[in-house]
Amino acid sequence: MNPFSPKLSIDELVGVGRVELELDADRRACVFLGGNGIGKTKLLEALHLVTFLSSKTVVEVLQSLTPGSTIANDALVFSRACVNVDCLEIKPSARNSQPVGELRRDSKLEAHDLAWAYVGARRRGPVQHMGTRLRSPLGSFAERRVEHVKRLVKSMADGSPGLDPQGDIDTWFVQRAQSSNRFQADVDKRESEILSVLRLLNAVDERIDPAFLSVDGSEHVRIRIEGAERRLAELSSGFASLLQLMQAIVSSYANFTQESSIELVRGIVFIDEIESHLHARWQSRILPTLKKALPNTFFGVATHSPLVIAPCEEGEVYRLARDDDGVVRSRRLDAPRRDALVDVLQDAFDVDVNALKRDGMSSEAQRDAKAGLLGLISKR
Amino acid sequence: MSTASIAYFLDSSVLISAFHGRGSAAKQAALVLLEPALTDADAAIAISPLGRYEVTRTLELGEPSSDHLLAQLDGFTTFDITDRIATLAAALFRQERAAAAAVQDQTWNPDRRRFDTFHIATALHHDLVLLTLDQGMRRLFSREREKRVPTP
Repeated sequence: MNPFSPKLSIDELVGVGRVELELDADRRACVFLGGNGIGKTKLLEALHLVTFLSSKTVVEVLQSLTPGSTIANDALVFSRACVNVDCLEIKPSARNSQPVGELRRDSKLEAHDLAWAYVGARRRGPVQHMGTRLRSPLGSFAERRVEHVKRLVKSMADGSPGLDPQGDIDTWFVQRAQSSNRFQADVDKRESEILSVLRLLNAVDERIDPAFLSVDGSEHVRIRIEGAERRLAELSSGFASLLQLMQAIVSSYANFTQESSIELVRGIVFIDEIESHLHARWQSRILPTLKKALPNTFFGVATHSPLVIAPCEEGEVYRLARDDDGVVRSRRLDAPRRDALVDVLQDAFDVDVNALKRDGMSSEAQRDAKAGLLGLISKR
Repeated sequence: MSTASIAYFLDSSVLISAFHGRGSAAKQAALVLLEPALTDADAAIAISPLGRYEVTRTLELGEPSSDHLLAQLDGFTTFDITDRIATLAAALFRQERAAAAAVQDQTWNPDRRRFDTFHIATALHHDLVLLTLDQGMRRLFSREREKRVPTP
């Protein structure tokens, strides 16, 4: 199930160098840990680039566009990536960008027809309501697919790894809600996207109504939480981050399929800093919930959170560390789900909770407790 | 807030004797052991969830002094039981069992020693001074401590 297993190597990953990973083939998630600067985000960007350049959809769409689509050198984050023995090589270029077609032709990686989404960490947070009523039509499925690939190519040309969640999420919902009227051709009704997002939100937090979304005359979008309607712009950063995460997955997937049950589509989701802005309870539930709700999706995730990895299965969690030869390699973390959280903190993050307690033992702070205990046992 | 210059780990036996052993020699011994630690302004006290369990199960339900005792224990540092401590405790237990078997020591009681090595391991792992009334625990703790901290 892991499309990058069992061996993945990347050469000249920007800012990181060579990376060698040995990953469990049977797992549906791969969670990367490691200190700041070890290369987790860059690794996800590299996997996203591999996925992009191996996509049949991208090839099909680019053939229909005018030639000359390019990717900026900044987005070409490695010189060579190999999944087992098949490699994609990016030849050095003096140009500021390289044609996508040439990159594809040079790739020996197996082409795929998966949907995929890249959810970056940078723009998750409060939802902005832009209030604009000037928007282009949603377009047919073919048009939406072309636009999606164009946006991906543009993000590559801009040197970004993928599409970060959109700031104006209201517009996305308004477009889909307006497409869901009785006059719209059935094939272009996109209510299914809204319902998919709501179902995913409800799966993580049952307080969110999986069947309610409203758009008022001013195009403010509301969802219902614990029975109360809440405008998206008023959501806490935690709710907003969760909403953006789910919307980014569904909106990306919907460009690859006309399935009404988007959750069932075969695909890959990359999520950088999955815990960003999420409450501890959500951090512990997000990955198992996504795996259950999207049963045909593989997840590539980077995190700093012990709560994210606590429920993970054996073979899902890998710590990245640089060896003496300068190569960053993966070390499989055995069964975090089986271990006590205090042991996970130590083994995965080098955080020794007991040592912190030991260092912080203060006689002054215990003065009352010591006097109280002495008084109690002396009286008896 | 300043850190303690000396840190003690309370074995449950000393707490149980101090709390329950009215008029007994064990109570006196427990007080002798505990009083310096509890009155030393530079000392701090630690317990573990296992020790707390062993003490709590001896308390009568609804007795106000029981709640008072637990409230005082809340004021001490509580170390989590970790895999490393459990591994060390198991190694100590097996080592003691083998040593007893080697000399055919019929008095060595595995049931009685079940949790002792956990307390010893916790104190050793965190470099704490073990306060216990049990001679066997004291001996094992001292011996293992010497092994871990070579004499200069």
